[in-house]
Amino acid sequence: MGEQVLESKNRDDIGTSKEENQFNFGAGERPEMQDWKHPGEWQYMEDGMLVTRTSVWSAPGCHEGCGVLVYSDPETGRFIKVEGDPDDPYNRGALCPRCLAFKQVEFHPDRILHPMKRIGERGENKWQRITWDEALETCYKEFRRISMTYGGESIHCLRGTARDNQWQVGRLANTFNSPNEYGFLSGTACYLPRLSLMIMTYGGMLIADFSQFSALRYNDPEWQCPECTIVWGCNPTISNPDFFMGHWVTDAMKLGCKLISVEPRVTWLAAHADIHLMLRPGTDTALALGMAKVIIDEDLYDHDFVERWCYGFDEFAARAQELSLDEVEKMTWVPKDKIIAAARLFANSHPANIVWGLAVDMQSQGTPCAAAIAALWTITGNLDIPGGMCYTAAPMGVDQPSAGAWGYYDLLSEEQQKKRVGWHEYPMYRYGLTQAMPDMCLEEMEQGKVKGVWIQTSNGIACMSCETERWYKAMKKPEFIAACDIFMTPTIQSSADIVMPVQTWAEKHSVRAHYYFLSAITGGCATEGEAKSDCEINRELAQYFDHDEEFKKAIGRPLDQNAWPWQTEDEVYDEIVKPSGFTFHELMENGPVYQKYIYKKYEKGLMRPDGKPGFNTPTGRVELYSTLFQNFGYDPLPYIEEPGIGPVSTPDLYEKYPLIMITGARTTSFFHSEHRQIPYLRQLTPDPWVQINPKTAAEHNINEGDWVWIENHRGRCRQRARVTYEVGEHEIAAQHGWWFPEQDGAEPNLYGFRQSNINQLLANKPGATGFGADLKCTLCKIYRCSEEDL
Amino acid sequence: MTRNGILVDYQYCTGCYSCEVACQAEHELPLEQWGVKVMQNGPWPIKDENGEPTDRYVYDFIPAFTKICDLCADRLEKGKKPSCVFHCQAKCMKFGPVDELVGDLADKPQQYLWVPPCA
Repeated sequence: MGEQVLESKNRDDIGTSKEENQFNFGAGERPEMQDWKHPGEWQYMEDGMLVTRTSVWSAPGCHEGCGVLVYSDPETGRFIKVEGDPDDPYNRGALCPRCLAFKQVEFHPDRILHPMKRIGERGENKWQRITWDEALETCYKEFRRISMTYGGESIHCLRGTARDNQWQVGRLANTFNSPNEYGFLSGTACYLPRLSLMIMTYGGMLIADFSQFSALRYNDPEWQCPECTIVWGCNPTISNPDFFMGHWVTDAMKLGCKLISVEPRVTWLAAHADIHLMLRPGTDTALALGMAKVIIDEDLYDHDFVERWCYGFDEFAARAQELSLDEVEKMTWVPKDKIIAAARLFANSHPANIVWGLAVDMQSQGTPCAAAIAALWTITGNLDIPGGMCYTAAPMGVDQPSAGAWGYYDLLSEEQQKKRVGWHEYPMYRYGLTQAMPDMCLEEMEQGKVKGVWIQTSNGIACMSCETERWYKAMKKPEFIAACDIFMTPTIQSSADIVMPVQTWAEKHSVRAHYYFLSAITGGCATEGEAKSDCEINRELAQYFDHDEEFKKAIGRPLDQNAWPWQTEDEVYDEIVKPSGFTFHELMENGPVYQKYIYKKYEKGLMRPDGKPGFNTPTGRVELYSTLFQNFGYDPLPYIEEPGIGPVSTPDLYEKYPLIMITGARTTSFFHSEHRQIPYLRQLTPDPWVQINPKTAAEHNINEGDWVWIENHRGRCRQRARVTYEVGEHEIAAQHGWWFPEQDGAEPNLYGFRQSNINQLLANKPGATGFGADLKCTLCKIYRCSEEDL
Repeated sequence: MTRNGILVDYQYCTGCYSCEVACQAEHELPLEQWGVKVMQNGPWPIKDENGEPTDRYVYDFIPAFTKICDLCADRLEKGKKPSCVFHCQAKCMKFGPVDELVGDLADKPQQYLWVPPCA
């Protein structure tokens, strides 16, 4: 096994290269293709309609990338309808309501159809139509001036939970000579705690294997159905999280897979689980270590795997074994016998896997929590085996996600790379997405250090921003802000100077590359108005900078280096999909394409740049005891810490605010702050809801449908009571991302983005590693709104 | 004439509402009109012999078809499944001739068979 010497290195010299930051295995090399071909034509006529096969990503946003068929009018090109693609292995025809209601997005009267500039004060809702040339030239002049006057790092480029525009925003920032690309979320508490942990200690990213790596799916003879899956802090059948279709879990249940649910709520999956561990929010680490203790104490772990492939098992075991299950029960509120039963069921099932979710990230100790949970699948020998936890691939060698770092290592000088906000302070931000540290960015923005902002389909103040008012005020400070989106949002309305229209996924070309397969996003219908794709907007804007020798000289970019040396957007995609051996147009015709997935890559020398067996970690092993953590000054083992605010850590606050507040539970109607203006979807969820247990509701004299205030020491907002046993007596669950497109958009109302905005009760307070924040485990009280409040 | 129907394995209906919206979009129904509407039962705790709630819950979703459902007659003519069946994420709906579905109904519990008036 290959090893790297860490001791002699300074902390600032670790994690500086792309090789250390391996997101998906196999990047840049064309793998062997799986012997499977989509049986249909990529484009054909049906019933007088033109049908185009494509894949859904953004905009509006979606985590999945399902295969769909777009039907359009062959004469006008306009969209008619969308259907699931029954031959697409990923979703096999199924679609969620957001795709099914898509026609109401495509033709919505509120869509932004032309570039506009602000003609009143910021927030006055006075806009004037301008040409694309004026919009792009204005952006060029302003970002050029700002970059050359204050330094590229003073331009911050924002995105939401980006899909294909992840790399587009990053590369545009780098074009401006800025390393700062991010979203508003405190502690980047969305997958990044888990992601960076896996990259640092497992040398890549792992996901539960429900056969999705193979186009043959459940019929692939190499795949095995997991005997048990733990759905941990996740409601996948509703949320369809992060390239994982939730109903793969129900598919597996039909095939006999046992289900353990780790979930404070009684979700549908929890109610149908073999064992439901109904834990106190934010105590997941204690539960995971408690389960590890049972597995080790009862000798249920995989000795061979641990001895051959793990580093620091003894130290990890000692950390778990020092716990008493009585303590764990007291802390987590989960009865000891259930913890034991769950640990035994999981360890005795083979293969077994874990579908984990945002609850892991949305606590300030997201990083140690992720480490503790990951240890469970590791010590039971479920790593990179069929039906276990498998490494995500760079599909067909296309490394698009870490192409979030596509320009970062290539276009920025080392000096400029290190100006990424948080680079020095939070070294874990060098692993995973190369993005800036949001909590520190907020402070920089408040201090007036951020001079320019580029917003690409991100509605930060209505969705991701904790202490909303701070972000809202900070976003008034930059000298110039430009935004791209499909709809006007509170964020754009309150802060932007220029706004540009973006194509929907049905209109645009792009590439869907993530984890399993590579496919083209093929524009299947005519574009409404003058919208352009995110990629094309960025490519056109970049041309100004690429032709500006004075700018290049000023920032030290070689004169012959162009950030976007492509004449059309399709040429950009040609470049991106190059490792696959396909051109973009060939991919349109052939996609989706799957590589032949190889299990147990660590035995075959496929995980490390040097080609040796083992893992791409400093010790070459899975590090249950992290040498990188040790070097960065963090506890190398998972450890237990109470949530920052809660019954144990802040008893005084608990007396005043006696309910634990969970936020962010999804519905199938909306993707975060999107879709509130779509009639079929809004009908499913007309108002923001807060789930309250019947007993708690009765104590507070609250009835179903009442508007209630949810309040704590930081602020309050109102949502409508949904009285249900889905949540326990000690908790409430409130929704996020609400604004009201039907309300007045101008200041001070800004589409009512404060009215039901739960993030006003949450803090920007990341965990020790800079990852994780207590977003699903804080305190609050509730009371009924009075007549005059409404 | 063969009657057609839809067999629903509601043991696996997770309440995603795809069928509801698939139907509305297919027929471009106005708001508050449904060919199928997902009804929710629970969650509620099952009580033990002493009347105390246990940690076991009933939590079911039941897609309830209405009399305006025409089993997507236009789609059937083109050899396609009804949109709700086709797009169901849990794949817990099956379309077919009633006499065949009756056979499937006997195969496992927690299913029901819907036969619309138009069938």
